[in-house]
Amino acid sequence: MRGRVGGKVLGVGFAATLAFLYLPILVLVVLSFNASGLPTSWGGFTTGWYSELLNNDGLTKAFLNTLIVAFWATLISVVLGTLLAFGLEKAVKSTGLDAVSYIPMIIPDIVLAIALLSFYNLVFTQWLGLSLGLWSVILGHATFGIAFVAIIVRTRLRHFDDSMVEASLDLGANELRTFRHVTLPAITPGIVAGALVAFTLSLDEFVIAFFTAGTSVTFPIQVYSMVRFGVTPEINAAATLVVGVSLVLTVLALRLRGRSETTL
Amino acid sequence: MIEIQNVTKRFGGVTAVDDVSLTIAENEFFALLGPSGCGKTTLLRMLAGFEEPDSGVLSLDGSDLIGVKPYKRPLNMMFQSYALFPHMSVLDNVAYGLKMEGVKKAEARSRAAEALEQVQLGHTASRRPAQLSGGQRQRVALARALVKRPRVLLLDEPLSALDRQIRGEMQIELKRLQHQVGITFVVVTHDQEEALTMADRIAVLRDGHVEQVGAPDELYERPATRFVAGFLGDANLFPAGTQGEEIVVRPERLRLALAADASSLVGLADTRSGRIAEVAYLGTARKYVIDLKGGGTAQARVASVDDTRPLTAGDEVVVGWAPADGVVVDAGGAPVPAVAETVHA
Repeated sequence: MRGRVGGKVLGVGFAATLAFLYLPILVLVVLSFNASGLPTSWGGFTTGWYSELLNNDGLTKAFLNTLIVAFWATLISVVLGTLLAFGLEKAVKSTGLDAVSYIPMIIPDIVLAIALLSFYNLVFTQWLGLSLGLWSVILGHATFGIAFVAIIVRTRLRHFDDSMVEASLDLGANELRTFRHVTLPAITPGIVAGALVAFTLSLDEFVIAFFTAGTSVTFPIQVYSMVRFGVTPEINAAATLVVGVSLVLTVLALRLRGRSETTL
Repeated sequence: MIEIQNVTKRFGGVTAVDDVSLTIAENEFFALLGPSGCGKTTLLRMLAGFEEPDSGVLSLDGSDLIGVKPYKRPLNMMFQSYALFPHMSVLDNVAYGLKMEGVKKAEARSRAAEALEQVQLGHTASRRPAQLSGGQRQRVALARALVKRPRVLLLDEPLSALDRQIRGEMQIELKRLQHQVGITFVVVTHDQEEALTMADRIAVLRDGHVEQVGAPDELYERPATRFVAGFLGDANLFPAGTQGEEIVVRPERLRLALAADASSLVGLADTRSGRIAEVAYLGTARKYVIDLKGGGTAQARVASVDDTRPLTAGDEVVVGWAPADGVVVDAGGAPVPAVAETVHA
C-alpha cells in the first residue's frame, strides 16, 4: 500500500518536472501552428508561418550562415580536438595540461566572447587589417568545440590497447595504414559523437557569435534582433525547427557516445 | 638462423638487456625464461622491431635486422593480450596480415579460413573477438600470426592469460603446431614448467644477461649457476671448496638413510647427518625436509615405489650424493636460499 502511494508521489513529481522542462517548448511548438498569430487565442491549425519563414530572406540567409559556421567550426574541432585527445592521452600525461584543455568548455560564454573579441580585434583587425565576419565566428566556435571533441575522443582512446597498433605493424601494415585500419575505426564513434556535439552547440550559440560576427548575421543573432520588436509566429516556427534539429543531433550523439563507452 | 650478438638495451638508467649473445637454430622451439624484469620481453620486442638495441647485432638468415621496420621483418608475434582487432570479424582479423601484404581479397579470405581450420576455429569465422572464450582468442591470435607463414613466430607469454587446465593442453598443442608448420618458435615465459615442457632449448635470463643456454634436461641436470639450479625446480646447495663454490643436488637424487643404517649408503661422494624435520606425502613421492647438523636444511624426494620404510619426523638420518649426482656451480650472483622452492607463476 505504502509502496503504491510512494509510487504515485514519485509519478506526480516526475510529471511536474517534465512539465516544467518541456511545457514552454510544447507551447512554442503549438503556437508555431496557430493561424491567429497571437499567443492568446487559437485561430486554427496552419503551416503558413513555415512558408512565411522560407520567404523571409533575412532569416533564411542567417540560417544558411549558421550552417556554414557550424560546418567549418565542427570540421576544425574534429581535426584539432582529435589531435589534442591523442596528445593528452598518449604523449604528454599532465594533469595541468588536462585542466587547461577543459577551460574553453567550462568558462562562461560571455567571458570567452569578450576574450575572443579583444584578441581578434587586436590581432586580426588592428595588426592584419581584416574585418570580423563569419570566419571569426567559426574560429570562436571551434575554440570550445575542440575541447568537447577532445574529451569525448579521449574516453575512447583510453580503452584502446596499444598492442593493437604493434600487432598491426607486425602484420605488415605501415604506420599510416595502421592508423587507417586499426586506430581510426576504434575511435570513430567518439569522433562522430564529438562532431555532433560540436555541431549542435554551434547551431544555437549566441553570445560568442554576437560578439565576433562583425556585420555578419547568424540565425540566433537574427532571431534576437527580430524579437526586440516582439515574438512573431515566424520566430516560433523557426525555433521549432531548431529544436527538432538539435534534438535529433543530440540523440545521435548520446547513442554513439554510449556505444563508444560500452564496447571495447 | 637468428643471431643475437652482444646486444644491449637501456631504458633511462636501467639496463634491460646487457650484452646478450644467443644463436637460435632453424625449426627450433626456443624459450627465453626468467623472472619478470630479466629482459626476456625486451629481447623479444627487439626481434619483432618494436625496440632497437643500443648496441650489438641482430640478424636473421644472415641479414641485418637493425633499423628494419616491424612491418618489413619476416617474423610475426603473438601478443600476451592477443591484441585482436575488436571491430573486425575473426576471419578479417586473420586475413588482415595477408591483405597488408597485397594478397588478393578472395585469396586472403580463403587462406585465413584455412588457418582458422588449422586451429579448429573454422566455425567462428564470422564472430567478433569479444564473442570468443580466452582459449579461442588465443588460437585466433596464433592463426593470425601463422597465416603469414613467417620465418619465425615470436610468442610473448602465450599461455599466461589462460586457466591452468587449458594451459596444459595448449603447451602440447603449441608443440604439435610447431612440428606441423615447421618454423622457428621463440617463446618468452616466466613459467619454468612451461619452458621445460615445450622448448627444445632454453635460455635462462637474469637481470638482463644470459645465465645458461641448453636443452631442458641439460639445464635441470647440469645447472651452471645456483640461480639456474633454483629457478628450474628444487635444489639442495651444499658449500664446497674454498672459492665459495657450491654443489647442487636435486632432491630426487639425494640419498637418505637412518643414521643407524648409514652403512647401507655406498659409493657416495659426500654425506651429511641431520634430523627429519618434516614429511610431506605427495602421492607419487614423499618429500622430506632435513635439518642438517651445523645449520641449513636439505630436501629429499623419495619415489613412493622405492620408499619401503618411510621415515618420520625426528628420525636421525644421513644424507649423501653420488659423485655423478652433485653438480658444482660457481658462487656468482646473489645468494639464493639453501633450499629453493619451485618458482610458480
